[in-house]
Amino acid sequence: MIIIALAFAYAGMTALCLAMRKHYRQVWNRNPIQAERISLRIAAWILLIASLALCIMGWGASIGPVAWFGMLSVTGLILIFLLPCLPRLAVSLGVLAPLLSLIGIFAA
Amino acid sequence: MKKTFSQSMAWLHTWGGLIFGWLLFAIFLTGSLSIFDREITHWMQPEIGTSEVPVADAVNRASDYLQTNAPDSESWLLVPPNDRNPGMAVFWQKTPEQAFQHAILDPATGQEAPRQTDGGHFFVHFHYQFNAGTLGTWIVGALGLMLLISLLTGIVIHKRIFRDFFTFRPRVGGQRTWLDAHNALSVLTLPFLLMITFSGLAIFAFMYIPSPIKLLYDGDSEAFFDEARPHVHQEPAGKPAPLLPLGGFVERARAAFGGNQVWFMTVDHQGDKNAVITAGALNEDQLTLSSQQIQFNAVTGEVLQNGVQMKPAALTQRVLAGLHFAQFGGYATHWLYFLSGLVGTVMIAAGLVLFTVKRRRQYTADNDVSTGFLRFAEKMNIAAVAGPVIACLAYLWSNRLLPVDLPGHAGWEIGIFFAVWLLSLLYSFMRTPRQAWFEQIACAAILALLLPLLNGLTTNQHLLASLSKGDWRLAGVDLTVFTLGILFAGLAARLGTKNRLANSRTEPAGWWEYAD
Repeated sequence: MIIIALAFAYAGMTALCLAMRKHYRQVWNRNPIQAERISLRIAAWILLIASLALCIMGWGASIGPVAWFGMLSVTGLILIFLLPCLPRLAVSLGVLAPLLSLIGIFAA
Repeated sequence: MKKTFSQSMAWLHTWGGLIFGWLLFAIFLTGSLSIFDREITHWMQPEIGTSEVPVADAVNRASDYLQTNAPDSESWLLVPPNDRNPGMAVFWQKTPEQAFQHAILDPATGQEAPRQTDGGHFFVHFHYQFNAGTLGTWIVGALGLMLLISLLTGIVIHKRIFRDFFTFRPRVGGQRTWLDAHNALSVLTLPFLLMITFSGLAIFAFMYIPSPIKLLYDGDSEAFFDEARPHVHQEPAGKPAPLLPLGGFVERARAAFGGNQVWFMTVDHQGDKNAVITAGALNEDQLTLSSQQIQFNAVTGEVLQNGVQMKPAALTQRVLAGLHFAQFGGYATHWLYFLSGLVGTVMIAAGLVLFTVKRRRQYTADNDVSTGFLRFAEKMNIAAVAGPVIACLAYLWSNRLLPVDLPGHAGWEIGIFFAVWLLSLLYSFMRTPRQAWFEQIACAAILALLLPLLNGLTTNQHLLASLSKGDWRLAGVDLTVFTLGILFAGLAARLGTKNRLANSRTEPAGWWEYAD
């Protein structure tokens, strides 16, 4: 539960970041079209809210949100350090982490 | 000249941040370490075995120890072994005016542990009162208030919070990178920073804002606390009566807590007919601090009060305290707190460095500080950032290197912490800032990287042993310090390269390359 919530928080932060023009350019060297930006932003919020829901399921309604804020901070920091050094890896991690964590949970 | 609002905020942020940041760094560093205080205490008491001793037995042995060593004390406080720390801590106080004395016992024997130490509790203590008693709490309160002001003024002067939300440009170098780091670290952890600063102040609200109690309760703080957190309060009857075995109360308390571990037990007026036992739970499922509590008559065993009824204001204060103490949620939340705390620590360091980096470059142009002050700030920064890091590591080293049976072992460790910090300050003033930064960070790296080795040479609880036993509480301390050591080493290597580059330059060196 904690791992999935963390993976979703990271993916959400990554999507939120890529919805910004300058970070999109940083990764793909071109400007995003409006539809891409909007869909990234929607995906970001779905992922972040899913992560909050997972935190509340795991820790309850009082501790869950506290842990969620902590996760946003920590995943955001991982992202900002990865982005300038390894932009492609930062993005792939955002796609792979939620998928792998889900597969891991269902396989176990 | 009339300044704009944001200019005055920038002034306040810069100067408040610099002057108060010199001590805030140490508070944040030791505060972050406090999250793992019990694990650190465990690490610092290698002689206490990790074998599981039933808590009731440990408490009975502790009670025997107190009967022998503190028979005439008004109150006892027992902190039994729990999942995070196997030591049995006892505190006692002759009269409510006197300070608590304490000892850590081996739960298996009830004897004082051979290596007496304040352990991780020193960091807890230091981060809210600098080991300076009430005065220290006031100083930390002022610092906390200033931090809150700096956070708010920081938000005001940071004009591009959302546009620069994810911006960090390590390759641009110099002032820009430091500003990016300072901004990004504080913006991303802003919820944590605001929460931890505000809740820290709220814990001591009664002390920092004493007038309500003076006004509404005629200064009778006991009356206030009786109402805020209703609990049974018995006066001694003056008739002696024997205490029931304390171990029995452990099981009864656990049953009342729905299986949660007992965090602490206090015994008031032991030896008297009206002796009272209060037990509090270690409750990981709730934010509220000490929400589960039960009180017994220590002579008859009768339950005096079960649970705490708190009014909304008192509950709010306890939730804030709970948010600060971070006893909830298990290891995942502890790590989130620890990492967020370290990020806050680095953010303060980045802010301090930024002050000097920015002014070094503008030095020839119009500058708002004198060169003399800038030199002073540069040196203070080193002592404020590298100093506490080295001092904390020296504290851990002294635990292993001081003779185990040295009288006042715990006091020596703390003495070494402060002595090393003072040395770092003196050293900073003897070297050029460039050299001092490099040498002190390198020193921290060496101390941190070698700590697991020292642990292996001086105890049998080294990394190989703790990992093979799967004791992550112990291995975690070694591994975390080692990881930080790698980061320090990386930083030192960068500083070293820069120093070599600076030395091979032909152009005249800046003033910051010379010692005073």
